[in-house]
Amino acid sequence: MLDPATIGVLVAIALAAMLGAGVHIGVALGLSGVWGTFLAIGPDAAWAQLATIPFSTTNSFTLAVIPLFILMGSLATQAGLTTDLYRAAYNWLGRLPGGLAMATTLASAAFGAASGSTVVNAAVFTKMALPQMTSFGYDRRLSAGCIAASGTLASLIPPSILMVIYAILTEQSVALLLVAGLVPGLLSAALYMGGIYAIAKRFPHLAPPSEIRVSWARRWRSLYGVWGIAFLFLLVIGGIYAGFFVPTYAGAIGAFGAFLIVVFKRRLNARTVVDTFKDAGVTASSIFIIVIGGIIFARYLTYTGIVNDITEALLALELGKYTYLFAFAAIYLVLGMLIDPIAIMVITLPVMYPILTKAGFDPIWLGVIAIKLAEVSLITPPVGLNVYVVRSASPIPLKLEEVFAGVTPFLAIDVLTLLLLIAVPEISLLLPSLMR
Amino acid sequence: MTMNRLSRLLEPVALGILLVGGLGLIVSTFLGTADVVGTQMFGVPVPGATEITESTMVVIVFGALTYTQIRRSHIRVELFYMRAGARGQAAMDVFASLMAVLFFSLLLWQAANEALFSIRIDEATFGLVRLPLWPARIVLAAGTALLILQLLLDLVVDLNRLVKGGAALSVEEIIERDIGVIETIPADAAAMDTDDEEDR
Repeated sequence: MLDPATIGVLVAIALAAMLGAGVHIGVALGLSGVWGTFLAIGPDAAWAQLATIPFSTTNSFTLAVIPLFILMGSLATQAGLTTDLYRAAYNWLGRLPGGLAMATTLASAAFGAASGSTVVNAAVFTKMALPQMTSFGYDRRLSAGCIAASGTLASLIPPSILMVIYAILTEQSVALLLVAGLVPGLLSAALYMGGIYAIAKRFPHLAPPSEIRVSWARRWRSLYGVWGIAFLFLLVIGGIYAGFFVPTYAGAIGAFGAFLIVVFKRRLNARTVVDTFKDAGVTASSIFIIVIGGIIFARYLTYTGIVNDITEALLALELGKYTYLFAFAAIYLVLGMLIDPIAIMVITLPVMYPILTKAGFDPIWLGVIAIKLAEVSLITPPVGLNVYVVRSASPIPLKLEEVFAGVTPFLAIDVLTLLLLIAVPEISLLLPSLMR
Repeated sequence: MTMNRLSRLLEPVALGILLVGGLGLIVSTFLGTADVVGTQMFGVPVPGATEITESTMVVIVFGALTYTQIRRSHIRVELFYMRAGARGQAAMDVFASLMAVLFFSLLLWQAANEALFSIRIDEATFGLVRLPLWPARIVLAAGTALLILQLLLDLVVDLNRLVKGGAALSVEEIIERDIGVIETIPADAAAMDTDDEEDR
């Protein structure tokens, strides 16, 4: 019989080898967890994990919020809400310095209120806003960087799938976490827009002012296209905040509302339905396999006491709580080069969460920080997933270096945002504290 | 070739189950909305709404599993894959498929046992509405079985690539394969105009 520490090392090596070799993340986590449990406790315990976790994870009312939010986002995309949002934001902001880029950020943040996916956000806005900004003479680096960075806003602004996954993995309230992301998400968006304004003021050649005049009548009329999403957002988040319904039903109502918007916009046809289902099904399926594998792996870590040992060993160093936090920030930035935020959370949280909460951080606040970090890692050189997405979705030839150069000012703003969120926890915690 | 016939057959089956799951998801949104409206406004909940929602989630996740594999949209680390040559990529694909077959076969073995046990004891939800749980358990096992079939088909294709070699996938192709959603974005969301002829 091997001792738990040796098993732990073996399992960690196996996991790293499988991940590096490109094995599906959920499969790699699940197999490592089953193998570890098999070695440390025995075959019965290992098979029991496989028998119970896949069913209990999917046949779950709490987790049902994930497919429902995904469906809401897919339907909103099919309803063409991105175009409407972008048009409205453009009409209102287009005349300002850097107005088109600010409109992209604003529309992306607003669309984040319906979709929970960073990657989808970045892909949609690359196809829509990049040609637009280029035709108005905007610098390609600034345009691409703005889109890649703004895509990350989706995961803080509720409804956020990433927030739900954090809540599930840490056994915290989904409702509190969803609400907690709102102000930090809006703050991020506002700081991005401020940054764009400053860049455009200082370097007008990067973002030439638009010559187009938009009448006030048209501005107001363009809002007509966005009342649907505004109403949907208020309903979903307001309902959760006021305690009218649980998050899962907020997802059901949000998806139902998005469905009505599709019908109202006369876009309901067989093709839309099939595309929506394909999109929602594939997204839900790939997310849940990661979550199932992640939970099997987390159970192994907890049951064998490894998490406890690591936590005690690390806390015994008495490094001061911010040292632990910054150590995890560094780990996130490295992982962001390799994998998407969901996988980052699933892999790190079983160990990171107990250490940081025992070091004295608030679990809800930690959720906001973890998600912001995971998102920042998506646009950090040398490899950021969102940067790749923007480049490959771009209808205009773009170099990877151009996107990374464009992202740099936004990264600087993100560092500022993170420091603000760390220094002033109330930004994240005020709204949730009013709910309790 | 029988193999081609099989893989041509598998795709519509996989898509069919996915669409059934999608319909279930829509039904869940209606039920959930009705339950909230009923409870908040009339004090009358919709019986069985939560139970049906739960079972539906099994169908959407395990029903879409095979179609997700056909599109190869399962999430994984691409950093080394992007830098590998054609044979290297094929070897990694073979290894990834083998590991997935191993994991899902173990899962299927346990899921099938659970499903049979569930039928035998006539397992149902607790509460006012006793919704049987075995249909969801059967979908879980059947969806997994179908996925294993697809994984084996992919394994044959990848082994072929490993032996014969060929062109490696570029970074763009890999990203595009991973982010299948791009192709389902409506065309007019991609082509946007801000000049005067809009305002419908």
